[in-house]
Amino acid sequence: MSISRRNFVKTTAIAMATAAAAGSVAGMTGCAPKQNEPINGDSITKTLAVCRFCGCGCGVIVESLRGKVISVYGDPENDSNRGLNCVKGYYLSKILYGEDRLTKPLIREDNTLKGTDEGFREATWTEALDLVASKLRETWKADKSRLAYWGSGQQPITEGYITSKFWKAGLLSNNIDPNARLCMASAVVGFMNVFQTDEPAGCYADIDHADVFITWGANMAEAHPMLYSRVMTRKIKDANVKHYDVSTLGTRTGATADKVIIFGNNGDLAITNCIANYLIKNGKYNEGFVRDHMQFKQGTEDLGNAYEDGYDKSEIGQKVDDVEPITFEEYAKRLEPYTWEYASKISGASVEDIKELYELFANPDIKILSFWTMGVNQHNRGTWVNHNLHNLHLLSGHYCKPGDTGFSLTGQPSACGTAREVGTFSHRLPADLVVKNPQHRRYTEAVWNLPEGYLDPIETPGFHTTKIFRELSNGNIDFLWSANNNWAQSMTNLTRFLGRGAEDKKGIFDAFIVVSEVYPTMSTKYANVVLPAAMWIEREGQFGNGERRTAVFEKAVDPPGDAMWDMWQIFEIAKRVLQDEKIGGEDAFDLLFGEWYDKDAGEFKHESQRETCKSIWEEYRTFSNPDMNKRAAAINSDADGKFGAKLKMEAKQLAPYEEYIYQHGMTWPVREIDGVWYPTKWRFAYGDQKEGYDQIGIEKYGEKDLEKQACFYKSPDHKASVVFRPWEPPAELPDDDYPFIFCTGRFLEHWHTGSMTRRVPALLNALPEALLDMHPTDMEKLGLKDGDHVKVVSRWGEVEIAVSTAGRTQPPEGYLFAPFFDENVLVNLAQQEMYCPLSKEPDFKKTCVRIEKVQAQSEA
Amino acid sequence: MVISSLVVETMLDYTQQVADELASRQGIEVHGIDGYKIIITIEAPTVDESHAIANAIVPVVGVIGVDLIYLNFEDDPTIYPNGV
Ligand code: SF4
Repeated sequence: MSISRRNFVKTTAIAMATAAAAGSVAGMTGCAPKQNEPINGDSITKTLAVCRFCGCGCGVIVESLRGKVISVYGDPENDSNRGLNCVKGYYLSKILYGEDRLTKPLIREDNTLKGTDEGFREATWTEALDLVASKLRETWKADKSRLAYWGSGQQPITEGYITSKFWKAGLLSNNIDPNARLCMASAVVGFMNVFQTDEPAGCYADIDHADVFITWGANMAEAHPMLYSRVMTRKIKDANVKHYDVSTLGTRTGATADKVIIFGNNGDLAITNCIANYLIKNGKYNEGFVRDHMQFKQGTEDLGNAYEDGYDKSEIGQKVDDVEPITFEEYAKRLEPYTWEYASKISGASVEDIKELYELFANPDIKILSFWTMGVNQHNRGTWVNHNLHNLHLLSGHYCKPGDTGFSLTGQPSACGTAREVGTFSHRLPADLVVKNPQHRRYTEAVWNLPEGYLDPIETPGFHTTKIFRELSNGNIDFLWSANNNWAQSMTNLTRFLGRGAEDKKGIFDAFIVVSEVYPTMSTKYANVVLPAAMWIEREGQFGNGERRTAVFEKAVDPPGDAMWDMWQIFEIAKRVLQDEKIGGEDAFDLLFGEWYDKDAGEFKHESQRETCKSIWEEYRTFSNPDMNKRAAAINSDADGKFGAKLKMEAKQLAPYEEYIYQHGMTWPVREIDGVWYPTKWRFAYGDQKEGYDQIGIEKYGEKDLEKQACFYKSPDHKASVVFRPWEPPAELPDDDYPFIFCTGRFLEHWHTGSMTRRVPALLNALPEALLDMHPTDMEKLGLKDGDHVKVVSRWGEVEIAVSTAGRTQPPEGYLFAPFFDENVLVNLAQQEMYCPLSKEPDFKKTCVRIEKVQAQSEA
Repeated sequence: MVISSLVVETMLDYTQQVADELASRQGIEVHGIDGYKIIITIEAPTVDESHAIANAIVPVVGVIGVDLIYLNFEDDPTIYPNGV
């Protein structure tokens, strides 16, 4: 770097940090490097991006020169992070350049070596695509129930949309599910049941307004660093702001909280019901809010657990979603058993601590921001806890004002945008639509230009994630394709799902498995074909983060070697599988994808990825802009009265593609006023749309003069549902054989299964291996010392791991924690496979285990 | 050199103490204080070394947040052995 270039870079760095410290977005933007700042005659290109290393979804600006990334900085104009990135930002670009990037398609030649990196040969794309497509078509023609696609909350929106369209309309299969099923399905079902629409009502800016933060089962300091930094900033600015951490173990988040409340035994259900009980008993609930905004219900109880593969179809399994209306008085009656003492006995939290939480909700003069994530969602009653948290905020009226809301954090950068909004789930269609509902299918047929009734064969939901892998292990899946995930490390009960257990559960070795990937992973070891993919800014894409913000990341550099854009992979496979197939007399591929891809020429019809994405987006956004399609508009408004209800698709309205680039991302629903598009930051809250309130949504569908100027207009009578959900125990309880409760989760340095972050030496050095965190008293009782190797043994499997009292978490006695990032210590070999019966999200937090000391070789 | 700038957020009573500590560390330059925030740059030969220096700020007593603002690594020989 020349001296003048160095001076320029350093001056820019200092100026931007100075503006950031002053909180000046304009200042940061003003002193950021300019587009096309030339170096030796070559111009620097500046492109928009979104970080992909956690669920926050921070905006980033990337500078590249001669096809290589040379700098990154936080995007000051992206309202999610306003120019700040966490220290993981150091690796945003380096991660592109790992030595073992997959650059050629690989075909497995030796199936006996499945489960290892061996047995592959390099192949041409034509060979690999022909093979994948022939296997998929063969399975499809023979028995559609034997194929599956496992996607991701890290898949960009347009790629997820095309995949979903291929699977649902092209193959007429619902066997498609994302890894978001593992992280937020319980939140989704909670939102749908309570508000009849998915995703949080608030936004990240709520942090700047809250007086009290409550983290429920959320280790934000590690899993959502930028947001947690914003929480800390709020606390620094106002000494009266308090943070309560309600958790099953000590974490970095708890370490900085004002109060930590430790509980166990599914006690979150009991604590929340107890607080609701006394809010009503003591007349401390918000009467106006209850009157104007709530209806009360109860649902099926005594759900048991999904021990059997056929649970969903069992008598109880088919009734888990059933609810019936009850009165407010009946609801109050159901809460009565939840006294301070009972809740304390169930949960292990003290009466005083529960009362302290109650006092917060009983106080109408403060603003409470509840955050929750995996501790709540990965729970055998995860949907119920989501309900109960919404119930507390609704009853107390702590909803629909900036800083006063319940907020479920997302686990991945596009779990909301792709998995939830596009609907890459086995039961969903785009934009909150579900396959079961005929009006929803008609609407989708209209947007996709399909004959009426064409989607009726997919009215029954397909296999959800655990079901896919259960059936794979049972030998009932012949073809599996996965992309943007690492199921062979992140799934529960890997002993079963990797075929390492019972002799009759080894279907993984017979199935034909395709993995689209950027690096070798645990999952590629089980692949028959590996398709090398473009990653992050090697192609254009879009993420939708946890605050409903859609943002575009632009292509900045080319992928290495023969790695290709996933979109191209999908089209090339789809054109082969759908060859000579017809829909309503038309060529199936051309009808579904002909707008974007010329199957004969084998190339995109648009000149750039930008134009392709924009054109796909225009179709996708028709789902939330019914007026763009006459047939859809008639179904949306129920013009002929056939369905008896309007769909209100504009409730999720999306803007034209360029707006997301121009505005550096926007939170939906977006509204056009006098030719300008405005985001909605506070959904269901009436106020000036230009200030981020839901003015247009409420004026179109709701009422604006209700209590607190809120209106939950997506439900038919504008009322949110408060459903009574009782305490029920975890799927497993400690006993003499398995006396410990074992929990897994994430740490700051490594992103999920570490397939990218473990390739960065500095991150690996910072956290080289997964350790089992254990309470010192338990260590003493078992005669263990730090560094000893133990076996964690459950009813499901076992894993060997080093034990520690000095790890990142501080579990209480009888409780154990180990992260799942380490491929060499596959902690999920010991995890149970139980899931929440409503959301089908597995419980990664409460497997009962025993600890066996592994004798050191010298001792042996 | 890899050049990065960061804002280090501190507890109110610790700002000066943290700034002094950071200023004494190799590779870090303190450029100013704005309330409870410290403006620094890190210069190191590689991204890895820069990250190691930044990561070591996290546990410093009084630090509550470390925000990366700008990172330039066109000179990192581990990424571009032959230059950009
Ligand atoms: S907080 Fe998350 S999204 Fe933001 S820079 Fe850090 S890893 Fe990326």
